[in-house]
Amino acid sequence: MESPLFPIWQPDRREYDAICAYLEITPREHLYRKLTGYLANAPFRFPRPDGFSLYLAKPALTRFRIARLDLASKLFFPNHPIRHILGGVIALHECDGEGYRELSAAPTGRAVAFALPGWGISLVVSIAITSGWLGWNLVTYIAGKPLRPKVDLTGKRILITGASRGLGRELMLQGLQQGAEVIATVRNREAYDELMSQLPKAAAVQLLVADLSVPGGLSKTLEAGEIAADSIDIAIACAGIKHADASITDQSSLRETFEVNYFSSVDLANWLCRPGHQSTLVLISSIGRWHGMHSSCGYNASKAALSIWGESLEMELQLAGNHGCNIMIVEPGIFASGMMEQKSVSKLLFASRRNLATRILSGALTGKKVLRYPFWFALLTWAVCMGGRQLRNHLFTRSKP
Amino acid sequence: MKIVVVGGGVSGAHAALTLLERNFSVELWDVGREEDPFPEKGTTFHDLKKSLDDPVTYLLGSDLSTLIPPGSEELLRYPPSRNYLTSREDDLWGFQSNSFFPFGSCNKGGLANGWGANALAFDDNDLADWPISFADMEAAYRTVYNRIPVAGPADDELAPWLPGVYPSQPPVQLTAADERFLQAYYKKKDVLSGLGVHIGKARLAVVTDRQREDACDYCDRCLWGCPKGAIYNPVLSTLRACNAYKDFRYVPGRYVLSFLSSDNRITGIRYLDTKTRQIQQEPCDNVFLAAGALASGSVFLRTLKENHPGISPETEGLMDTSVVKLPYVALRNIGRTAEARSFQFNRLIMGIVDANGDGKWPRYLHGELLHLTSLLYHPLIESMPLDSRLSKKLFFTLKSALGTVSLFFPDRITAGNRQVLPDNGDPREKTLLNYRETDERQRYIRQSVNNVRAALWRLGCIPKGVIQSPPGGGIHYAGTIPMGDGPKRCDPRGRSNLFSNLYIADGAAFPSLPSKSITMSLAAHATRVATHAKL
Repeated sequence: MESPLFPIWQPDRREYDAICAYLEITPREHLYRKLTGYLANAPFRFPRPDGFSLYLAKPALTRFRIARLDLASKLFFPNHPIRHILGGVIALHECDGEGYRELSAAPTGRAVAFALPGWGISLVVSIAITSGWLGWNLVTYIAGKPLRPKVDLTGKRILITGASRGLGRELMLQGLQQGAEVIATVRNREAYDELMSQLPKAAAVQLLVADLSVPGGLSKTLEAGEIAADSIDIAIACAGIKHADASITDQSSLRETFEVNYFSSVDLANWLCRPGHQSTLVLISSIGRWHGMHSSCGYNASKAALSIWGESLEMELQLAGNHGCNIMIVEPGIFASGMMEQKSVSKLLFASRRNLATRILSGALTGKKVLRYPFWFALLTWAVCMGGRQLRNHLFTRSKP
Repeated sequence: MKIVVVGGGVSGAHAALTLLERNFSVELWDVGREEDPFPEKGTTFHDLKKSLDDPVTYLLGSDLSTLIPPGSEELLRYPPSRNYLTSREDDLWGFQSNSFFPFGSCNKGGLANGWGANALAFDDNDLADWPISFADMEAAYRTVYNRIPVAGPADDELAPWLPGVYPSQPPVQLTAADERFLQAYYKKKDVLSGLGVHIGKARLAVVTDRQREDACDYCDRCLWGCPKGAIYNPVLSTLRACNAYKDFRYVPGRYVLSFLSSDNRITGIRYLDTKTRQIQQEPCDNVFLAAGALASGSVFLRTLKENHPGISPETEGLMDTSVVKLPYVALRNIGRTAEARSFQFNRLIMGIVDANGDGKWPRYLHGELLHLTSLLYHPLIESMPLDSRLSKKLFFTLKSALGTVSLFFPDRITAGNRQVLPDNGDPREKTLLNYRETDERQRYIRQSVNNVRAALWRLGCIPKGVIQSPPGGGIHYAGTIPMGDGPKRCDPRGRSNLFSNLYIADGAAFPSLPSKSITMSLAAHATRVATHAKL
C-alpha cells in the first residue's frame, strides 16, 4: 500500500484501522480507498491547521490519540484535519449497507435509560484525560517552539526540479500541503503521467517535462511554460542522477551526471537570480561531496562542484550588489532518496526524508545558508575525512553500491 | 397560428395542456435536460446501500462532492444522480447576486422535479394583494385537481382554512410516531388553538390508491427521486398528456433569451440553441411565458431593453418564501424504532391561523412536520456538541425522535427587491438579483417561531435551534412581471400590459406570495391564463 500523499490529512491504513476501532465499526478496504481519494483534496479545500493545531496533527493516529483529538478538536479546533477524517469515515460507512448497520447500532426501549448514564460517565472521563493530554502537549509545544521548523508556505510559489520521486516529490507534497503553489519539473512524459495520476485535481501544482541532461534544458522549459522568474519565491534544484554501475572513467556517464546534477543548477541560477528579485535558490548537494566514492562515479564529484560553485555564486552576487537572491546549500546525509534504497544493515544511518524536506523548506523560508542534515552524519563524515585517504580508502572500498 | 409556450415546468405544462384542450396547436420550447433514471424500483433507501454495486458513488458522487464537510451549515446535498438542478458553474446560469441565492433548473419538468408535493390553494385572504379573488381561480383549481391526483383527508381541523383543495386519494400512511404526535395534539387541542396552531394530515400530490400501478409503495426514497412516479411530476403526467395531442410539439434544446416585437406585439423569439451554441430567432404569433419567475423576468427585461429602451430594465418585484426550520426532539419517541418503509416528505402539516386578525395578511401560515429517516446523517452527527463516537451513538438513539417544523413565510413586493439587467451589450447577459429581508417579515418570523416553539413544548417536544434559509433558498420565486397597472406588469388574466400577445403564465405574474405551497397555484394560474387568452 502506497503511503498517503498528505499525511496530516490522509490516514494510512493502520491509522484507518485505529479510527474504525475507535468508532466501533469494521474497516473496509474499498471505503478506505475512497477516503484517501477524498482527503487528498483536503489541503486545497479546507483551512490548513497551523500553530498548536498543526502540532497536534503531525504524530501518527493511535486509538488513544484519536479519542483525544476528536474531543479536543470539537471543543477548540473545529477545522482540525481529524474532524474531516472522522466525518469522512462516518459518511462513507453510512453509505455502505453493512457499514450503516454497524454505525447505526443503538439501544432501544429501556436500554436507552441504562446506556445514557454510562455515556455520561465515559464523557466525563474522556474530558479529564483529554484535558491532561492537551495540557501536556501545550507545554511541549511551547517549550519546543523556538527549535521547531517554520513551514507555513501560504502564498509562496516554489519551483522544484526532479519532483517525480524521492526528495523532490517529498518537497513538492509538503509544499502543497503547507499552502504553496508549486511548479515542478519531471524528466519525461512517463514520469509526468504517473505523477499527474497520483495528484488530486485540486492541487495547486503545474508540472513541466524538462530534460536536464540537455544543456539549457531547464531554462528553455521554464520559458516555454511562461514561468516568470520574478514570480518564484523559492527554487529548489533537486534533480539528480547517479550512475552506480558505470566505471569512474566512463566519460558519457560523467558528462550526463554533471549536466543534470551541476549544470542544470547553473542554468537555474542564471534564470532566477536577477537583480531586484527576492528569492531563495536551494542547491541540493550531498554530504558525499566531501570525499570520493568508487561506486558513485561522478555523483560525489558533481556534488562537490555544486557546493563549491554555490559558495562562489554567493560571493559573485554579493560583489555585484545583488542581495535579493539567497543561496542555500543543502548537504544531506544518507536518506531514502529515489537513488538509494534502505537496507536493514544501513537502517541506522538513514535520515527521515520527510524531516529533511521539512527542514529544507523551513530553511529556505528563514534565509538559512547551509543545511547539513542530520548534523551528526556530517560530523561523522568530517571525522572520517580527517582520518586521511588511507582510512577513507579502507572504509569505502568495503561498501557496496 | 403559431403559439409557443416557453418553459417545460409545471406552469408551462399546464398552460400547454389547456391550450391543447382548446384545440390550438402548441409548441413547447424548453432546454429540456433529462434527469438520470432512479435505480431499483421498490427497494428502500437503506436497502439500496446493500443492493447497489457502488452505493457510495450513488449517494455521494464519484468524487464524493456531496459529502458535507464539518462546519458547513448544509444538512443535505442531493447526489449528482439527482441532476435536475443547475448551478452557478453552468453555462446557462443566468443570474448574479450577492444577496439572493436561487435554485434553478434546465430540466424537463423544471424545479417541480424536486417538489415536496404539498398541494394547497390560495384563498381570498391569500389573494388580498391580487386583482382577482378565489372565485376567479376556483374553476382553474378544480381543473388542476382533476389533472393532479391529491392525497389528503376529506375534512379535518385544517379544512376551513384550506379551501380549494380537493383530495381524490386517501391520505398517505402515517407512521406510529405521527399517530402519537396527533394523539398528543388532540389532547392539547384547545390550548394549541389558543396559540393559533392547528395540525392535520398533509394534502399531497401523491398517488396513494393501491389500485393504481403508480401508487406510492413507501420505499423511503422521496428525497432521492420517486422510482415509481407516485409523486406528481409534470414530465410523467401533464407533459405526457400533452404528447397525446397530435398538435403538440415539444422542442428541447432552446434557451429563450428575448422576444422580437413590433407595434407592441411579439413577432418572434430569440433563443440560444443549446446544441449548436448559436443564437437563433424564429417568428411566432402568441407566446406564453412560463420559464419560471426568475428566467421569465430575465427574458422580459432583455425584451424591454431591445424594444423599449426608454423603460428601465428592472422588474417590479422579486419575491421568495422564507423557510424557517425548527428542529425538535419528540421525547416520547426516544428509543423507538422507525418503520422501514414510510413516505418521506411531510405526512402532517401545521397551520398557524390568526383567526381574529381582521384582514391581517396572511391569516394562514403554513408549516410542515418532517421526520426524515432517509437522510445521510454525517452532517447531523457532526453538528452535535460531543465527540464523534458519542455523537453517533446518541444520534442513532435519538434518531426516531428527531423532527423539524418547516415554516413558510410569505413575501410581498417590496421597494428595492427586484431583478435588474445591467447594460453590457451582451445578448446573454446575466440579470442581477437585488434582495433585502424586511424588518417587518423578521418580526413576523420571530413572533410565529415563538408561537410554534410554545406549541412544541406543549406537544412534548424539545425545540432545538432555528434555521432560516438564505434569501433565494425558499424556491418559491414570484412577482417579476406581476399583475397590476403599468408597462412592466400584466393584467388579471396574465396578458402583458405592454405586449398584447404575450401571456405571463408562471409565478412571475403573482403580485404577492402567500405562505401556502405555490405549485398547485402555479398550475391553476397557467391553466386560467391559457383558458382566457384571446387567441
